[in-house]
Amino acid sequence: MLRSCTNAVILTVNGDEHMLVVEPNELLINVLRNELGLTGSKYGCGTGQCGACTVLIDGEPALACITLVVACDGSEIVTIEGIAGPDGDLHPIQEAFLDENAVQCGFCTPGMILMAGDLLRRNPHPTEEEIRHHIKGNICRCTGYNGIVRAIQKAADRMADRAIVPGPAAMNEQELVEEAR
Amino acid sequence: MTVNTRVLVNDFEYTVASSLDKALAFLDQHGDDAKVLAGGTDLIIQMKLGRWSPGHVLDVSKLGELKHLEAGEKVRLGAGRRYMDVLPYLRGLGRYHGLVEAIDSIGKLQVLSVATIGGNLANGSPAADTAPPLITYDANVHVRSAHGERVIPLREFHTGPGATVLAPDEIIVDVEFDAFPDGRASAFRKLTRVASDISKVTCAVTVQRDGETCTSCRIALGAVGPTPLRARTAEAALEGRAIDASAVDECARLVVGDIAPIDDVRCSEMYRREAAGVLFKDAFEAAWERATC
Repeated sequence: MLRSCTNAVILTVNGDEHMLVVEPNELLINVLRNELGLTGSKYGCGTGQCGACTVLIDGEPALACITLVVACDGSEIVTIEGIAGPDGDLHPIQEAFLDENAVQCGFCTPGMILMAGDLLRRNPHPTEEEIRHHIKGNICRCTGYNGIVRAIQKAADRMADRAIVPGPAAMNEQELVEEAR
Repeated sequence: MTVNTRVLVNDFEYTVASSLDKALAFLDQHGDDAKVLAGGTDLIIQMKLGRWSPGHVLDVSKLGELKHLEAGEKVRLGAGRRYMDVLPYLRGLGRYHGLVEAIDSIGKLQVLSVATIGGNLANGSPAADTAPPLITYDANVHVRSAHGERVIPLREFHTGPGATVLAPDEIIVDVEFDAFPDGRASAFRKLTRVASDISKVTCAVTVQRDGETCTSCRIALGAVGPTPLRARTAEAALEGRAIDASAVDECARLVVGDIAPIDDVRCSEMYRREAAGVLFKDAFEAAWERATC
């Protein structure tokens, strides 16, 4: 059993390793924004409802506003700042969001783009219904969602055209289906 | 008092459980002042809102002993399994549509990827999405403490809003139910304001069908009483009955009488009663149709 009042935690955020000493009640969103200066992840509702604080933890979408940093020790975290290429080139999903005017106030955009990336990793050719299902946990109060859905469709098409492999999905759903059989 | 949900003000000690035995020993010592953390999608919110202020948080999310998935004569779902794992597993089994629909209805992938089946039951919400279908499966909850284990029928597990029979030193190990025989099928229906919202009303139905006769039926509803509850009068009326539209209509009226909804922020009592009858009919018809396959 590991027990302590302040905890040393190692987080790999967008490929950079950080060693942090945190209180057990420290939330991931605040460490990302205030300690690491990564303000792309937004604080929205604070109660896990809006999806503005979405990040990827070990490849899986999660809500940073209800995640304890201590529970992320040893994890790899990706925020919106980790999506663009190393030379700053926009990711095809980011390009498509700009092209389709899928951004108005921008508050939901980081979470939407991370969820779009998560979808395209699992399903490179999603239908409109599948896109809408995947962004169910992300609330947008400006766009009415249509521009966002078009942007994700466009990103999928472009990534197929350019033969961009979105990377393996973290979970092997097929394995669990096989196990059940 | 206004709650600042930017921070978690509650101070606590955080402990990672390295084995189930050690977790149980920890709870034996600290249970009264501890909460168990699995996915945290409910616990952290409740702590932010000040409903829980534990001195200890015990993280059981790494415990392999809570992650089994088994399907033989019984189906066992390890309490620590995330919805994201349980969902494809159940889809692979192919028979348990009601539970699949309940998990799928949660919708929000950021929650499905961390929240667990045990956590959804342990938090004791009357609106817990997995409770109604599991109640209609006559599921049992296996719990353990340092002093032994017990098996609790899920229908007796919830005792009030946010309250269960789980003792402070106990952990849910798994939830288990009999594999469906031929002719048994289930469905789940849910009403929310927007996708991924908390339920206004949920209804699960499991039927055992022999030709056009319903030999037995379980009906459970969520968010229409202090706990998830069974519509026992309606169940009894369907048992052994030849099914036609009038039988379903009659039972929908009985379902409305079997529940105990209240007015709250999500909707009114009257709305819930109306909606429960409609959801029951939808769920029953879907389950009945599936039971022919």
